[in-house]
Amino acid sequence: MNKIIVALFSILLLSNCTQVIDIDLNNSDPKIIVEGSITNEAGPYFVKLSKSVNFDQSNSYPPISNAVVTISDETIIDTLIEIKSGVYQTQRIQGVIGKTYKLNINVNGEVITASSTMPDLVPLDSITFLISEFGRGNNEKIYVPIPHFKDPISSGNSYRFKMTVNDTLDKTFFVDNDDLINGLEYQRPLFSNDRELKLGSTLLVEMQCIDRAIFDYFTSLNSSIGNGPGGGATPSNPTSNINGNAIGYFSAHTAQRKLVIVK
Amino acid sequence: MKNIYLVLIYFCLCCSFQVNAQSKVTLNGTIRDKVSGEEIIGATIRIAELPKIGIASNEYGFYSLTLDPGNYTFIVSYIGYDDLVEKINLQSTQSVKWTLQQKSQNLEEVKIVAKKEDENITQTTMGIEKINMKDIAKLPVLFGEKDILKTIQLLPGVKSAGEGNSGFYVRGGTADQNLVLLDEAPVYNASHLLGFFSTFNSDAIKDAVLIKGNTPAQYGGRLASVLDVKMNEGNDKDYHVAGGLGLISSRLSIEGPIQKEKSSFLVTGRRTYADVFLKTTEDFKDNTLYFYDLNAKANYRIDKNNRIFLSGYFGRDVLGFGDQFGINWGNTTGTLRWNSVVNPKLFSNTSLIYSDYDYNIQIQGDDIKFNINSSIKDWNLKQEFQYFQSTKSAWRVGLNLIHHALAPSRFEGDAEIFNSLNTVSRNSLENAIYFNNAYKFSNRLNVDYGLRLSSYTILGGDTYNVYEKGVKTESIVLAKSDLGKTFINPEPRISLTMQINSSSSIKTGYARNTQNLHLLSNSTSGSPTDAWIGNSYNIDPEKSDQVSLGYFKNLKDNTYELSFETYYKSMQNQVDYKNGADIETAPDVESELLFGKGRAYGAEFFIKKRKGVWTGWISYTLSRTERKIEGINENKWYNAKQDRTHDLAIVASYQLNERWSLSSNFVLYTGNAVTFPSGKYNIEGQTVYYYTERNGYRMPTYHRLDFSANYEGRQNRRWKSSWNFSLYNVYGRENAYTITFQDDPDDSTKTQALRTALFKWVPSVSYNFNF
Repeated sequence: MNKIIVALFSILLLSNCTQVIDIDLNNSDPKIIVEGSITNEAGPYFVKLSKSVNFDQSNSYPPISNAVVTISDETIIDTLIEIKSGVYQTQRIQGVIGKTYKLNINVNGEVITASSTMPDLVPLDSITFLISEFGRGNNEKIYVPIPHFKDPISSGNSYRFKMTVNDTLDKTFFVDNDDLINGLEYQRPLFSNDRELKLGSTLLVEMQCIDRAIFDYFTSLNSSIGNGPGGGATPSNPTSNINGNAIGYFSAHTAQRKLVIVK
Repeated sequence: MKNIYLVLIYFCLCCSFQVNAQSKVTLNGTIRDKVSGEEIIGATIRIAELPKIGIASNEYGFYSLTLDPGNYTFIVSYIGYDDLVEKINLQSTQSVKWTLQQKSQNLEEVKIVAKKEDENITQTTMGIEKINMKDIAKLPVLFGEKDILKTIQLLPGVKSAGEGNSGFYVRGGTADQNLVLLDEAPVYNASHLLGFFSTFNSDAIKDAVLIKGNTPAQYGGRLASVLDVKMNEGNDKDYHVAGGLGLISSRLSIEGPIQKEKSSFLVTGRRTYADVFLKTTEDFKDNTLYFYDLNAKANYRIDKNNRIFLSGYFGRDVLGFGDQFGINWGNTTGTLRWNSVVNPKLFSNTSLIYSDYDYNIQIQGDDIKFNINSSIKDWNLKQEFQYFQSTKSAWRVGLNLIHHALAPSRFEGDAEIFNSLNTVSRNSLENAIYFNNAYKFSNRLNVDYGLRLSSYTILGGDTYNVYEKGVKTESIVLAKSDLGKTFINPEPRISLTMQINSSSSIKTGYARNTQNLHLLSNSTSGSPTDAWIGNSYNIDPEKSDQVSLGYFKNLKDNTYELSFETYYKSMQNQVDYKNGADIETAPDVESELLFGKGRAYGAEFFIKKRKGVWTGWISYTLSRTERKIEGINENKWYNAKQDRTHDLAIVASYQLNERWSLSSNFVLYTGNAVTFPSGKYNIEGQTVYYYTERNGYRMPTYHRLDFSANYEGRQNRRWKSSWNFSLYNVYGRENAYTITFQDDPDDSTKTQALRTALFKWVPSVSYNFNF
């Protein structure tokens, strides 16, 4: 809402002025950040461990080395190998649809756990484009991709899309679910905050079927970084599926891709 | 609690067993403006022979006085009017119409009449602010639009919801805890253009009263305050036209008699035209942005004792970007009222009220087109009797029945998917019965006490889910004819005034309020799409208990008015969204809510100079507002968003000469409590902020000085005109509207804080006329 108001007053040609300011923010103890996933594609899979820093420090996040990291299903406990500082790689476990995976991390005695179930794969049919001239005076057209697929009859499906535009990953976290469209044709445009698609752009769309906890994680992440609708919500840490003194996510999901050229 | 009831019962008994030793007679009637015929609310009647007695006309201009037969000299007075002195040999019950003449504008002619302008000292109710429409006219304003909602923000205990915003917070309450009434009809969204204008066109407003928590029993349904706004009735003697031209909007109103001195009407309209400028810019030529509103009222005197009124309000905001996205929203209210003097001591008011707030969003793509609608509709029946028992005691007894229909988002479109999304509207009944007695124990001690018994019943026709920590545990299906859960709440109210001497008094009060409708707002500024939601199987009524104590003093023949009030308020069942709530797609928003309690306390200082070439006031509030909600901030108390430690307003007007007057106001307040990050980390290449504490930070201190000059044109026969020149934010302070955090665009290894300010200087000019 605040964004709309600010935009509105720019429209009204009134002086709204934005300025970089110095602000004195509190320090916080470094928090352990977990990013881990396992998919139905062939391994290996990775878990990344890092630490948070204070706001006024530079954007380099110390990796956490020498942690003991395992991913397990009912039969296998796979201990991950640290391939570079803070990045851990699986050795033999293979992601399978429908299975539940457990993540276990031990950082200097601090135990962190998570679990995630890989949902069924919903096939992505095609990508089309919505042509928008929204808020633009010149004739430049913006292309917004629309993934098309049929949401299954059973309710509770959640999706995540990753867009790579001309080899650069779009930083927007696109997540959605079937609460309002269960069993129907999916055709919602992916509005990006980061990249713009123009005629001739190359677009790689990765569609993931994620579990509800991961949907909740990215939705709350979006609302806390102001990417969510409205943008004015009281910010808070996203609801994480990680147990223990850490935040982040561990996601078992399916993955499929489509490469298209905007024309 | 039990004791309070006992005290109440005791008072009831005291009052009803008073025996009238000799037969008394009653004088009753109405008090009106001589020129326009408008009833005057709160005019006082005193009797020279009985200096201890003083009563006021009620909200419909009606009065009733019961006395021993005899010869009396009545003095009728009202601020801004000449006193009326009339000798009456009162031997039998009779009715007398009094008309008051407005004081002449000419300064030299203002006689300082030795009259009692000490209503603030003697009246029982505390925490009441009367807004004088004439005061408003001269204050500096944003965009040249005078606005009662912005003026009340300059009063103690009332805080602005933000830069240029007409939303307000009273004594730690949220914006939805204010009951805003326009001719008795609740206005669910009292702002235009996302908060920058209020829905009240001041040309149509007769009187506005703000009650800060110590509400008399006839009001109910909100925790923090009641803003009771009454529209003009319309001149029943002559036709008049008034209007104003401003930079971004214009107003016009017409009033006059339908049948002379029997019936009259008033129609007032307003429209902004900022969008006209938009059309001239290449970039925004397809965008629309405007609002309009219309107030209309008519009344008819059936006979000496009966009168009916019909009033309505219709307002709409329209915002659109090309033909792809549009949103419009607005309120509609209608009031049909019947005033009846049943007998000289008994006054009856019956009102049938309709109130509607709705918004409508249209979205159109290349192959998709749909609307989202939401509305809240009320039908409301009120019956009240006012019984003027004696000069010592006056009663109000009434009942209020409201039928609410709350329709959450409804989708309409060509695609079949929309039909599956629609939810039915939820209906409920909100009823109340009440009594209130104002009783004078002695010349020194007045008491005003009452009890409101309110109920809220969920009506059938929908399914209600019960959630335990966001997980559904039960589903309650209510058939159309079923009655769901009922909440009943007794709400006792009492206030006492002890007059220390003729110029000072001490007042104290207690009030319980309950609130059955709750506004779910996730944004800081309030948005037209914020949803109202009723009590349910998850949501209990919000409750508040407020105690207050105040000292009131008038100095130098009532030239200065001084007050000091303190309050403590505890609130239960406060509603908030949980962290990371999914408010857009969650099938049932109730699964995303958390409940807790709140407390607010503070001290309010107020000094006002009412007479002379210099007038104005200083108001200062020291306060604290906190919340404690299971699931937020590790279940510890935290500052509510609207918590502001210091809040200062200084308002001054100077009458330069007959034509020119200058006004200025200065406001300074502690920034809102906000949540800022205390760290950051990285998720898939995107910087994410780490939060440790809810509302643990403050926005920068807000301060601003405004200035205005008013010029009264020469009166040419009936034609009167005036100019208002305003400068908002004289010294151009960039007050933070938002502070956001982002990666430094020039250096990706750094993050930075960005402050956005809405206005630097905003000059405006408006021209007003009437004839």
